[in-house]
Amino acid sequence: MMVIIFVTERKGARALTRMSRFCAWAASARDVCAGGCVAEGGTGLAEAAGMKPLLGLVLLVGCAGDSGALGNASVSPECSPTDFACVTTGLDGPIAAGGVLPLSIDVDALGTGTAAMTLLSADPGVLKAAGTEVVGVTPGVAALVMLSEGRAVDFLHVFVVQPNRLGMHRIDDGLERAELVDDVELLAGDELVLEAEPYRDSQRLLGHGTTTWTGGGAVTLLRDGSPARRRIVARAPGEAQVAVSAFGFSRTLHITVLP
Amino acid sequence: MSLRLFAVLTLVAGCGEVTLSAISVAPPGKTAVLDAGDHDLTLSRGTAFAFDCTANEGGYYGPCRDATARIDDESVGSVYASYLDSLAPVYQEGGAGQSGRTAFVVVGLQAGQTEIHVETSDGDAMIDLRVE
Repeated sequence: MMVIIFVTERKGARALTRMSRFCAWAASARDVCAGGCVAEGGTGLAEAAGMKPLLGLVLLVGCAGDSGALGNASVSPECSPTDFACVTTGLDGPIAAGGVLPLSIDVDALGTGTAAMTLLSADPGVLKAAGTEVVGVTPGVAALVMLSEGRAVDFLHVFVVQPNRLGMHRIDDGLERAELVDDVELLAGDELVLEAEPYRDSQRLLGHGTTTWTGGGAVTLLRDGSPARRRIVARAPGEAQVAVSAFGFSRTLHITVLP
Repeated sequence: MSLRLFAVLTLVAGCGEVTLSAISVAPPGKTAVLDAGDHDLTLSRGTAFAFDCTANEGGYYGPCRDATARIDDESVGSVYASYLDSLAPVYQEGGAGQSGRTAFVVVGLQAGQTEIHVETSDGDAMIDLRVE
């Protein structure tokens, strides 16, 4: 799978820095598929896509995914191809009990495309499978068997753990920064995309639960197409608290909006 | 035909052997052990295990042919024919080549014991499955 990012001149220098950082990270990341990180001019492609590429760049990276026990398939969270933060995640952690995780299954067998798959959970008391989504039920481990044409094409053992806190992450141009552990300052007019993630101590868990966001005052919270995400717009100088609740835990972020 | 020759021919004819070999491991903290000699399979509940089937019968050595598998108690486990993206060597009547491997996946559903019957045109095998 490839991720293609078009970068405009305005954000070019910043994006280049990020890209080089990502490439360095990708080179050492276990789960990033072979293929590494290649950057090349892509102005023509960007123009073809109707964009305004003052500086066009195409970033080709392998996406993260976990291989099945038989090596026939790889499994990763279902993502928009341009959601960089999601695409590069892979199944790099246990699923949170109560969390829902849509999956993408790619058959890696040579000469074979991906057929329609049915997922079977070996222990529905731990992990439920519905369509190509899985739901963490209770802590434990369960095999997720990928069935096609009556055959077990592959399987993957998935761990489910109970989260014990929420973390809040900043999403910036499709890239995700480390967990926010301090207050945030914004200038009036700034925007900030936040995502709530379940954690077990310092281990980030997969899956999203029912999420409730509250906030107001100097900022406005806008839906961003995903229950776990909100776009925060700094409206006027002042103080604001943004709170999020999910998985029975809550987290509050203090935001100061400067003039 | 002498009695001795008859005995030798009977033994040779009965040399057909189906070998089952593990091709997957259990996740950390769980069990998936196949005793290749006794064909005893111990599996943790909620885990899956894959094995392949090789035949050595009547001048043929290679992946089991026309193989099917069924399980007696489907509440204890389930067994599926599988698919492997690789070839295995085949020797037959002096010739050598390659053929797709024959494999099955067993899923441990709940604690209990039952039997899995692997039937091939090269011979059969029975696995004692114990899900714990």
